[in-house]
Amino acid sequence: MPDRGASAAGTYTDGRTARRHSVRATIGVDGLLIDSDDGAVVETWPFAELRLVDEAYAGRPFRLKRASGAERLTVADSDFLDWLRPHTGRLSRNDLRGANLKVRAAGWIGATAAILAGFWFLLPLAAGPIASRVPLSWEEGLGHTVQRQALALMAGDSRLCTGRSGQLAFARLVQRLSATKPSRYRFRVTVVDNSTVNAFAAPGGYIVVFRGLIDKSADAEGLAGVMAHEMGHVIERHGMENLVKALGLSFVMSALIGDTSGFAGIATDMAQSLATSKFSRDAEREADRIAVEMLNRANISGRGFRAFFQMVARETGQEDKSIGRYFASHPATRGRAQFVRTHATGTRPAMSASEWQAVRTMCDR
Amino acid sequence: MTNGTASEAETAVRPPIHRLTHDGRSGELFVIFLINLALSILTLGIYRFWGRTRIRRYVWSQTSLLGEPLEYTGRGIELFLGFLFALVVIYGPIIGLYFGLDVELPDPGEEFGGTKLNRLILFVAIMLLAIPILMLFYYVALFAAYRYRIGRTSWLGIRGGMEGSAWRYGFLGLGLGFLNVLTLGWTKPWADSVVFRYRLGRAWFGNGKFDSHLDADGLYSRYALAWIGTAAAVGAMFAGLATIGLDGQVLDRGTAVDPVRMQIIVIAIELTPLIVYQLLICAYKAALVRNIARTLTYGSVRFRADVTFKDVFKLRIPNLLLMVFTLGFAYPYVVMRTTRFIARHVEIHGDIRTAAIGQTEVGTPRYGEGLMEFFGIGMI
Repeated sequence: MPDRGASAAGTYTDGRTARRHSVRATIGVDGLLIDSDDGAVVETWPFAELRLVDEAYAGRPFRLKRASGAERLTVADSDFLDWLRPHTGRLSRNDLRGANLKVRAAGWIGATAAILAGFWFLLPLAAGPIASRVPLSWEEGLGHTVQRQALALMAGDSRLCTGRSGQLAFARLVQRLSATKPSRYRFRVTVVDNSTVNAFAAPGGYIVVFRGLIDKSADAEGLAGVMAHEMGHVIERHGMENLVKALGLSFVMSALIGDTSGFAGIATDMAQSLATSKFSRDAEREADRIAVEMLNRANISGRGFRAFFQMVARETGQEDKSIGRYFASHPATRGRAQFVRTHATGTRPAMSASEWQAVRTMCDR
Repeated sequence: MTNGTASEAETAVRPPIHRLTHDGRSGELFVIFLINLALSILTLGIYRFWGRTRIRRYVWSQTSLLGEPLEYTGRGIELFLGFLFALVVIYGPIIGLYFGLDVELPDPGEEFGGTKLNRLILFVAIMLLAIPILMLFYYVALFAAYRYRIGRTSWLGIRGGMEGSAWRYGFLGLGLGFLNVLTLGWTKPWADSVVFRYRLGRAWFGNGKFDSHLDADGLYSRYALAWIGTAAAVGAMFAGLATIGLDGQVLDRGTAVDPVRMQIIVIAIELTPLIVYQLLICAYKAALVRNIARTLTYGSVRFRADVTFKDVFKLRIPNLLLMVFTLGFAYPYVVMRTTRFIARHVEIHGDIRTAAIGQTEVGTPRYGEGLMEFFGIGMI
């Protein structure tokens, strides 16, 4: 080999004391010869045992050790490393042999971006299959927690509406709707005394209805439509999918930030994101489709549901804040009213006049 | 080899002054940072222990004294095992307690009493008692983290070490922490000096021991300034919030202002005390660093770090802003700024007789700083 006999000045420490020995390192036949002028150091490190201690950079000193020994050899001339390399194996796990810094940086930026993009696109695709494999008991437990957290977020004005006959009427309506589409879920409806026009479905069948929604529904059929819509979200596990996405995202985020303490906050974040739930357009359309299907099978008129959408479209147009806040996430409301009109075939009312009256007054004290 | 050594004529009268030199480059660290980021995401965060090790190895190896680079000998697996251990220690009891007591939270509107209520009260009471335990863990973790880093740092093939008990340090920190709360923070400068003295006075390099006779000299005036300034800012914050009304309505006019602009104003008002504190505490931190260096000894070697308010301000505030506004991507640059700051300001006075320094007898921990993971401090 051409570089045999090449040598460089270096500093040697033996790992027992901090004494620095000025040495000469010479590329020998089967190893690196290290010797000092005063004869205190005379060693041969076999090429196979040579290791770089740190990553080496051109123009800066590099440091060698002998396998896992405590001795260290620092050589100031980084060119010597290039002469040495043909004789040795890989000098360290991160031995990058004169790799171009810019190329490396670009490569890793690209790889990171690709991974992030992969997560961004794969997470929504994976969320459905993952959500469908969650056992019912977990989903119900999670839904219960989410519902409780969401109600807790409303703090002061979260009194529950417990009018007995109203609750019974609600239960009968839900029973009638769920009978049309058998699923593994038991639906539990909670009505909250809050003027916001809102309703949301937590996983596992926990549905929360705000008084404002009942007030704004012209008739029981409108309420029935919204209930069927929320039940559709539950049956299709949209809430669960959202949670899986949120969880995946927070995994990525905590990997980015390197903060494990964040894991503790995930449960509350999930509740929050669900309470202010934003399902995708597709999820909304799917829930609408199921709602109309349920109404049809129960032979409940779709007129009220359609009227409800028209009312929302009107009031959103007038920028009524209490409505806009929630239904802003339900896009193209007029188009949805149109969908109900074309597909609804039911003819019967959702409940009797006295039942509807009981529902409307169930929040009265 | 003669980095920063005073001229030879002076050596006779005055001991030589040495400085650390730092040759690291943000670009190189950024590459390591990106590799770590990509692998951390791929491994759902587990790689970061190895990543952190790699960053330390780079920063250490680019820092030299007398032309000889430091060496970080820690390994990723040690950090990972420490983390797993801490995971069990921290979350095990909480989860066990929650399920063991079969705690239920009340539903809104639910009649809640009897054994259910008792169990919840018991759970909350135990959790409240756990706060001091967590604080204790914090200080234990801090000590363990320093001990690990010192034990995994070597120079000229000789490593550092730390004696003393993490638990004793934990109780010391806990007691002083409570005292600080009781005195509304007015014991903090003294408490800081006690805590630093404990740690620094137990550090070793090789067979030589560091010593510290740190006291709170000159710390109180700077601290008082920060305390009073922050208190005034808190007062101003409440006055400001009262004026505009907590619901974002300007009280005296009763008219609603653009809610987004209102939100920004409210956040700005709420951040004021924090900003004032961060500004003023720089003077205190500078004085603390000066005192720590001045009172630290290693055999006949003395130290100096004559940093001023301006120095600390110019280090801390840009670091903070850089991290916030780049969402953490300025991390390599922030690390470089900090390391260069240390290299620029720390002076080592006296002859470092390397030939006389032997390997340390102080044992090193087998696993690294896992507990610290849960308190999330320390930059590197």
